[in-house]
Amino acid sequence: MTASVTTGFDHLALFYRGEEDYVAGVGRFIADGMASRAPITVAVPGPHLERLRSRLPTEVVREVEWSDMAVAGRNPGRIIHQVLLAAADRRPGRQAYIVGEPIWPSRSDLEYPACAAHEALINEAFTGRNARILCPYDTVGLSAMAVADARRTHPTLVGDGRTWQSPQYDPAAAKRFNQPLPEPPPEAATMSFGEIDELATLRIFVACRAAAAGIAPRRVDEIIVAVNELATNTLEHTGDGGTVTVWTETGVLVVQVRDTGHITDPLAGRTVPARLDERGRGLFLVNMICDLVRLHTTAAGTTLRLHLAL
Amino acid sequence: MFENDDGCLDDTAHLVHGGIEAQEKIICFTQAVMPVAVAAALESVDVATGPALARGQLRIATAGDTFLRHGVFDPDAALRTWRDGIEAARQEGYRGLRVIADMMWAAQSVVSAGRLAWYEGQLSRLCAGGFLSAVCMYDRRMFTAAELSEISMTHLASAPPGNHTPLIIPLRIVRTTDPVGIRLTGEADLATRRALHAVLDGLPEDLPYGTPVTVDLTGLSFADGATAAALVRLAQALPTGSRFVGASASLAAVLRLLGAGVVPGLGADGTVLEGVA
Repeated sequence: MTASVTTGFDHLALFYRGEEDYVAGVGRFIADGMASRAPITVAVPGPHLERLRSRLPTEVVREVEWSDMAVAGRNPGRIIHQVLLAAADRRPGRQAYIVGEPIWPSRSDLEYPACAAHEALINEAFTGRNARILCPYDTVGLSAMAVADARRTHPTLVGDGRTWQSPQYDPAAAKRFNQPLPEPPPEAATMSFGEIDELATLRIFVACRAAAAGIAPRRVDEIIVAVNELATNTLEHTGDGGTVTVWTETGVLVVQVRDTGHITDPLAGRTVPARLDERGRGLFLVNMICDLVRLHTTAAGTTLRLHLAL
Repeated sequence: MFENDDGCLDDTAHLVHGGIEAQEKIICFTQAVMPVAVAAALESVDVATGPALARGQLRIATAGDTFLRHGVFDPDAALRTWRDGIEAARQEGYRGLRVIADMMWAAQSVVSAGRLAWYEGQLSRLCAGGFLSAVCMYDRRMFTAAELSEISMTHLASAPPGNHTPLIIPLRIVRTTDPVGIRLTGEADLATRRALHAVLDGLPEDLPYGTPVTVDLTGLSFADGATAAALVRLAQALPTGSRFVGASASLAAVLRLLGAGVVPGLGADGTVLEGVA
């Protein structure tokens, strides 16, 4: 690998097999960053964080800003804002080196499409920015599908000490993960809304269901802020009403808002709006509040599904 | 809101009666029906209209005779009238000024929808002084559903036809003098957004110049993202030393999310948001 690139944006997938390969691959990237005196951020899940810190030289460990991706990136919808852009803005004017590992084998089937969509959207969010982002992929533990998706969502691939352009790279890959969601279970509770004076009732409906599911009062308050933002968007931007459906699945409370709108900006809610009164503020808050957000949006309507740990 | 002339009279009588009981001065603007008909209707439901009219506590006028005299609605002139009216009622010793206005004229294209919305917002600003209360009566037959929805956003409370007091006021906004500032009580969402934004955006102008302000959010049981954004905007417009107190944990979290990096001095615990010049 070469450290000659000091400006521009690149998004690399590191394919690794086992611990040695992981530490060596990430270590090389960090060394490149240090050679070009770049600000370096490493956001990987906890066990990988510990492994890197114990295996890399002390002077390297000291140079890096560390972050637990399993915490900061629990909801992949907030990684771009909270982890990547925050890291890129640490030292404006300098190309940032960022290791971001949003996908690991224990990510659930529920989480995976949102994680893969996030990987695809990094390319759009960072166009024109000055950063190199390396995403490690465990080719042993992850499915063949996840590895194939990584080839589509990353313009550059790294493995076995080599770096090459991905022939499968697709700048519009995010569309692949905009998939219909399974229907809510029959026992789910539903409330339709269509008038602005119904928002207060809707909040009570969601608060009661969330409390009944065992969510702590303080968290219930945050959840109703999130649901209220989505219902407000429905009333403001669709001209129609919508439907809110609430149920529980193993370990999570699910709140779904369905309406006739179409979210055409793929980055909506993934970055903090430059102006506070801009559209996108509601979705941004939703991403910051929820543990996982799944989205399916078409010209025929939008389904947003919020997941909250019980 | 009402759906027939009886409904309008009924609601009006109820509001006038409440105002007399509360020792407020009442100005009643009618349009759909003549002032004498209003007076008669009030008498018929045992509101002591005659004495109240005689001692000047109650005034009944038509919009056409007053702020629509020239056939065009002048929002600035109307707002001046309310300011003068507040002052006069205060000096006459009343506990408040209650204005009940049949808004039928608003359907007659004497004012643009944008100007009307602006006017209603400014009226909310005046009401935040705590002395004036204004009830705008909209005939549901004269406005489209979309218009009524827009209209209700400029008000702090909307009541469907035939829904007498106790009217649930979802959000109360009152300017305070000790400490100088504003107090929000209730729930702030899309239903009251325009009214709240008009009051908050006008606050730096409505309070003594340069005085640090206390924004008391203790009673604000719900605030949506737009409200939080308006509070952050307000923090940027208020004099140094201004304080935001009593934000709930969830509002504090939303303020931090929207204000971090935008408002220097955002309180670390989120409950105090220092205003910056």
